[in-house]
Amino acid sequence: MIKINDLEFSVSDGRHGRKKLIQVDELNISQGSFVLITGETGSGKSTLLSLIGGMNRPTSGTVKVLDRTISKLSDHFLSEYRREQIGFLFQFFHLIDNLSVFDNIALALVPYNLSFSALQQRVELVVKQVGLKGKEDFIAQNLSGGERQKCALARAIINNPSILIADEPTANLDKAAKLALLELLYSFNRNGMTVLVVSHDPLFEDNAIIDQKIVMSSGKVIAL
Amino acid sequence: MFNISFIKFSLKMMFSSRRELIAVFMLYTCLIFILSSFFLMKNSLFNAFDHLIDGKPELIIQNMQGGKAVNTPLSWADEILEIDGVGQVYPRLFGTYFFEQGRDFFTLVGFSLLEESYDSEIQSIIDGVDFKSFQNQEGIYVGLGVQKLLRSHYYTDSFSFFYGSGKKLTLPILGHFSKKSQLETNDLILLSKQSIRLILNIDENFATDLVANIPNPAEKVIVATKVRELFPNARILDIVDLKVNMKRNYDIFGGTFFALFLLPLVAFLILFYTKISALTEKGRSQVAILRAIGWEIPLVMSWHLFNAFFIASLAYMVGVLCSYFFVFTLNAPGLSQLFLGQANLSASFNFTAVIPLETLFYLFIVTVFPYTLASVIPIYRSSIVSPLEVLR
Repeated sequence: MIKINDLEFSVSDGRHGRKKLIQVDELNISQGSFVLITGETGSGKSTLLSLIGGMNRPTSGTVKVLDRTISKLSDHFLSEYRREQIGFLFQFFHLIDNLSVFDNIALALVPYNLSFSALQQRVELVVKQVGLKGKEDFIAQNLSGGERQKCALARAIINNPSILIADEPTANLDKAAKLALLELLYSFNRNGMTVLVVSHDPLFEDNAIIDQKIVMSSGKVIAL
Repeated sequence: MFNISFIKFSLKMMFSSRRELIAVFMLYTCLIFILSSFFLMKNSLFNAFDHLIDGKPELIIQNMQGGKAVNTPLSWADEILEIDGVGQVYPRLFGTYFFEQGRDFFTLVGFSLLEESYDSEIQSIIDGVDFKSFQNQEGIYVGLGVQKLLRSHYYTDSFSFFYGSGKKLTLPILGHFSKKSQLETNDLILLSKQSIRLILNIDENFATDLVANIPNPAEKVIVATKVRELFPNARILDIVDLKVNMKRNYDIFGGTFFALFLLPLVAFLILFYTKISALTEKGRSQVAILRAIGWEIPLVMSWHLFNAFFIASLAYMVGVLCSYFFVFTLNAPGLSQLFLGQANLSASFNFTAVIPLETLFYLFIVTVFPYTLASVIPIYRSSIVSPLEVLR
């Protein structure tokens, strides 16, 4: 499902040359798997996620997702790819603080030009799925950490993506919220969604739900 | 792209940053209010000014002695009439009268019901005057500024002029001029020729000046030369001279006007610069979130275009409406003095509502569009950056 070949991503080092952030010769991730990506800070985990998620384009090499080479897509198609195939979950939730739960989730549907009633229906459905029913009108900044992450998760899955990308999703949550989130991620995974998680959390390590573990160091995959 | 959901969420996101929104809105409204007030005042004044200029006669002939204008002999009129190209010659009677109690000057203009026609200036003044009131009795017709000043000194029905060595002439106030003609009639008192001759001590054989009507404007210079040959001490003014004189009067205020006009303009530039150069961390984060969840660059930019256009248009409308109220209802307290320093009783001039649609349209173009476009530049810059770099 996800096929990476000769992938290289570098950025300008501000002086003469370029700094190589990641170099992956080959990496395959099968559809519907639960993948954990680990490694020390600065090892290139988040960069790898950004390349799979279409947030960055590689300097060289290819990233193929569902038989589509996303590394060569224009911004228009890359945005469409992020909208339709990818759901993002961040460590710091990244909600728009002054908007309500409903509005934060519905923002992901705005590009579809849906009628308000259709939009409302879909939001209600995911709100129920993540367990935020009754809190649609709450302002995001007034929610607890666990609720904010649930809201972010609802926004990530509202377009029913093929891949859910989570970058340190449990780092700012208490134990109960972590377990609740893990349960939700697992339930989506069981329904066929590929879940890619970057985490140092022991909760994910040696957990039976993990199908594949990728260890990175200095921008390279050192263990699969 | 601009469906109901888009507009609804754009407005929601905009109103979610209320403090910032109110600050920008207030600042922008104030700037537009100041600019619009200047334009409305200038337009109203120049409209009245144009009206005044249009009514001016072609040539004015004054008798000069030692560089000072003195009364003009009526016998000059007969000689001037014999010059080829001269249509008619009218004698005019006018002058200033010092109202001691009010410590201000009035302009007296004399007219006669028996004369069939007047020069165009007097004609423009007496338009709207109720002549029936003059048929029955001697009296005066006053400008609104005069009326106000007289009332404040309890002259409501009549006014007493003092002339000669302590003599008094009391005349009833028969009416007042309309607000429309206020720029030219504000400090004016219209009265009979007999009365003005008495008050200003003008002999029967003299007038204040003469006005020659020249049907063919091309002959104006020749006629002026011939008049000067006949009367070497005559001063001849034509409409061009008057325009130059009046323009000069208004130019006195040009510098101040420019300085005050520059102030909001500089504020605009600062606002634009702030808009162009920086986007707050919150703003960058919002753009990155929207990009991450699949909003395309044009959609993100449309969202900001819509927001900026909405705020700027609303501020424009409120600013213009406030300035309309400030200028035409409150009569621009504080700012009107800038324009009206040179006339007698100038402070009492009322701005007549004239909507300069073209000027307001240009104001809309130069204020709303640059702001709207300026706000999109930092959004574009943030949109092309990888969302992950901002959100990390």
